[in-house]
Amino acid sequence: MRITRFSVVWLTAAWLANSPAHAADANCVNCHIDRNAQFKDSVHAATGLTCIDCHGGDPKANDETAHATDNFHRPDSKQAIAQLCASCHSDVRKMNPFGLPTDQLDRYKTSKHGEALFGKNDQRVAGCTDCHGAHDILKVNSPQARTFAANIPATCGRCHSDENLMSRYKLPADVVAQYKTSYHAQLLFEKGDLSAPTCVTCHGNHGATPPGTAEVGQVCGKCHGRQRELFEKSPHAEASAAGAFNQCVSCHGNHAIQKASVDLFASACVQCHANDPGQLARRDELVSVIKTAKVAYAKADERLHDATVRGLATDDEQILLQEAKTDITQLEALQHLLQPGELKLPAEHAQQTVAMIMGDIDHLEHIESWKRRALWPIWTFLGVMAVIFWLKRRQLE
Amino acid sequence: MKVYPRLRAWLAERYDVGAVEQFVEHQAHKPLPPQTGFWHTFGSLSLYLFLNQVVTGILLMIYYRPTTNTAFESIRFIMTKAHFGWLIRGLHAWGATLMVLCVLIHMVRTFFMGAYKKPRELTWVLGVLIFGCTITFGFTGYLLPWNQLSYWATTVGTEITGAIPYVGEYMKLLLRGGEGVTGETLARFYVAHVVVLPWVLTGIIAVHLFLMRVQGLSTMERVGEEKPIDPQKAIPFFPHHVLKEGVIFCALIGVMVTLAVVWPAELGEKADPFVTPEGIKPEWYFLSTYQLLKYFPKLLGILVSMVPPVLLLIWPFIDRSPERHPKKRPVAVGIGIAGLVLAIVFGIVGHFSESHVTFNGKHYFIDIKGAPHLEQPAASPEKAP
Repeated sequence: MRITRFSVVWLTAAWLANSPAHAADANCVNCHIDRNAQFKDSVHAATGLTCIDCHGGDPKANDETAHATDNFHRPDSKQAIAQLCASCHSDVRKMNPFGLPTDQLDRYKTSKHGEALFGKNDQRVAGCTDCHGAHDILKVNSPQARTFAANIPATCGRCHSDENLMSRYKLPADVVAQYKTSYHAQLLFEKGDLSAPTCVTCHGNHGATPPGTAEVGQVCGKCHGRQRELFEKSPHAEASAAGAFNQCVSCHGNHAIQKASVDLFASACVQCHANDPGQLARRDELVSVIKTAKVAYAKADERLHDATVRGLATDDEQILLQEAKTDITQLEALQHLLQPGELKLPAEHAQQTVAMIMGDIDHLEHIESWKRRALWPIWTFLGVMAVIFWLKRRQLE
Repeated sequence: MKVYPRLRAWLAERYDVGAVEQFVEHQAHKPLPPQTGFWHTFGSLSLYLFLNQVVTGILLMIYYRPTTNTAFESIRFIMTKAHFGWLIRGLHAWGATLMVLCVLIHMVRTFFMGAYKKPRELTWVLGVLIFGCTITFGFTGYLLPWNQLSYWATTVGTEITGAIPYVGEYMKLLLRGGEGVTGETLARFYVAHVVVLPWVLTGIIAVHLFLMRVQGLSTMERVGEEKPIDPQKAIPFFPHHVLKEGVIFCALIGVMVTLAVVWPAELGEKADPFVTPEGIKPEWYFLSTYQLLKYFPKLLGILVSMVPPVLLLIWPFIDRSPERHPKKRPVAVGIGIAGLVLAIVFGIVGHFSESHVTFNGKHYFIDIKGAPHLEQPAASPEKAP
């Protein structure tokens, strides 16, 4: 067979592709077939890392002598694993190209997990590989990753739903089960909202720690900033500072938190104010203002939707409805002030806007009624014409 | 000097105007059989409704934009901003329904009066094709507003074609222009609705009318025993029959405008491929076929549903008896009545299937096959503390 210039180039390229680094991997794979199966699709394989980048060893050896080098190591503790990961992940030069932070180990050491591991050598607590995997680590935004938002509850639940393990730390084992009943979980699992809070949103990830009583408001306030700001001005803020009130959690709960509605006032206030008619009256006033505005808004929304579906010109009213919705949203935040007077302005504005919408729809329906009235002259004209045609025909016959 | 004589003289110097005038005169005063009644006006009404669809369709095309981002919005513009857009759309939507109804009544009249028999077999076949084109118009036009109902009804409708053996998947792909109902489907349906079908239907109607004028209207006499129309008893097409059509025409205009005003065509909600609404139903003229398909496995259902249209198409070649009078054709009339009753019953069942109805104070759920299930009243929720 004639060897052409093209085939020489092709063979050279194929040989170059089989570079020393890949050859070293190929040698590891001879024995560690299962590890390679996990590693080949990982984020580390995609970035060009090989076995020896983490484990060292002799890349040229084709048997167990590959392990017989000074730089070979197989981490035998979670501390060692953490240090091994940190050898790259705490190196700014190495992480900069990927835009990754380099303080994970430092944060981890401040976490309950890190304190137990490094302080008490407790090998049962979560280390790097417990959450990220070892050889099969995937990017956080990969839906198969253990650290993907929708998989976080399951990842945490591997330990935090284990009754035996949790009983050693006197921790409840139903937190993940509770979370799955929450509104946050509904957003995450049913609506596919990956920005919905998961375990790590409130507790942190590498620096995972349960927020204390004083920090709950800060944690919830990361998303519900306006509510937190108003809460700080409420009478409850004082009680919280005195340690008598657990901020958001006292009314809303924590892991099993439900979508808050005005009905929450009925069950939450009586927990502390059951025998305080003055406070209950203030509650009722708050509830009344909010409910009245919300009911009016809901009626306008329904009627406007109906009119829009029918094909009436409702563009301006849609804008007004958004205005009313803004007022309702304001009311939902302002209720955290627990001052009925503060709610009056947006509530009245919402009512006025709703009244304008209703008035406009009345006007549109009035025009529709005129269309129906116009049918009388049309039918009269057509009737006269039909009679003329009929009589003319009779005459001809 | 008046305009017409001058114009006629100008034309006569160049063309055989006399022949044209003679043709028009002959057609206008062509004698019709004495039994030509109001039932005979539904053919003309169908033609008028077709013209109504063309005119209102052209007006709608001025503002309609057939893309997924603009179709719904352009319909909303027509309904809310364009002058009398709501009326034009209403006349188009109700005109479509009335056209299907008029063509159906015209066919029923033709069937029961035996007018499809020799020598008018081809006129009947063309009439069946006109009906097919009319409901295809309905099917393609239904998607164009790009609202939830139209989107999902088209999804179901095109899905059914996928079950046809061997060619089904290709047909579905051809209709949809891809795997799902998308902008490609909208473009295809639009082109079919405003370009292909109008010309096809115009051509078929032209031949249908030509044959009707050449062969004249059928009488109730036996095939081969037709007598020439007695000039003393004949009804001239113009003005006698045209005046009769005028009376019905006035009623039709009134009904159509009333429907457009009292029950205006809805805008609905914009199509959302991720939200399937409950109770997706096709237009009323597809309801009986839609319901029939539920009682059979997919392939068998398609074969069964193909029987009525095929039977209609070849009927003149099956029923070859010389009798035209319904009383002398008990089998054909019996089959015709049974077909009509079945279509109406299946249509009604299809309309109520998968819905909740209240009858005689009791609540029922009508399941997918039309069987009613008595619903227990829901227990009143406990009062919150």
